[in-house]
Amino acid sequence: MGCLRLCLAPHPGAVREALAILRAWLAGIDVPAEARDCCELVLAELLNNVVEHARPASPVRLIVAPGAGGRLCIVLSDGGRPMPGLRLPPPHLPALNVAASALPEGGFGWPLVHRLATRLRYRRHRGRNWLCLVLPPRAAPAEPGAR
Amino acid sequence: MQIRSTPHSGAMLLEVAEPRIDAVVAIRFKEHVRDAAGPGPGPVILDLSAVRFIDSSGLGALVAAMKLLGPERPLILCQPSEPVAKVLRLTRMESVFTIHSSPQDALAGLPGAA
Repeated sequence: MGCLRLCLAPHPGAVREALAILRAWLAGIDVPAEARDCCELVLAELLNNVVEHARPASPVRLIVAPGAGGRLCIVLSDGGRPMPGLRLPPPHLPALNVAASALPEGGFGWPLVHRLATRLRYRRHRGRNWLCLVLPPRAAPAEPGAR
Repeated sequence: MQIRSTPHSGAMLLEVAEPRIDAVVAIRFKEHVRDAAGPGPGPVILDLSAVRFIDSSGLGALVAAMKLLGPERPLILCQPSEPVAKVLRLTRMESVFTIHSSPQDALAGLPGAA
């Protein structure tokens, strides 16, 4: 089974197109439906983050490779701004025990990625951001940090 | 962004006729919901059965819509598909929204319903 390699322009419309290509590719490989949905969600979060926060001037590069036992291995790189503090954002969900008018409208993306991915790694190398992660065939909704 | 609205006694039923609530549609989602909900009064029931994908920006858009409608017009979610229910679960937002398994259940649960 071959890898999916994509090079996409850093804007929201291109992210949507890339996710459509990803879905078509996932439909052709042997992974459970739940893992396909999970892969689409995680890549939506990661690609939207790159477009919104890293804001690279050059195309974003993505590789998705089928691994043993239905795993999916993902490498994402971009030439945008580094992650603050050169580290991954934390896995904590925003506080929800607040007044309805103060409920958070953001801050859910990285907690979702931390919950769904394993072996999540970030590295800044030669002016590029590199993210590597593995998606298990069945995402365990475990507390992040427990792994 | 397609939202079909059907008035019921004391509530407005909105059917999101979009397969995705993602970053592309999230920006204007709350205004679409407010416009489709009309002047009210009463709760707004959002049928999510046609939505197959939601990401964190879409989730934020649901929260924004709830806040824009305000306490006088509570936003009630109904029949989320499995991928949408999973995102609500993983972010613990199922504890924030009232969620029903069908529009009928949502309507039956309203104050004053027979």
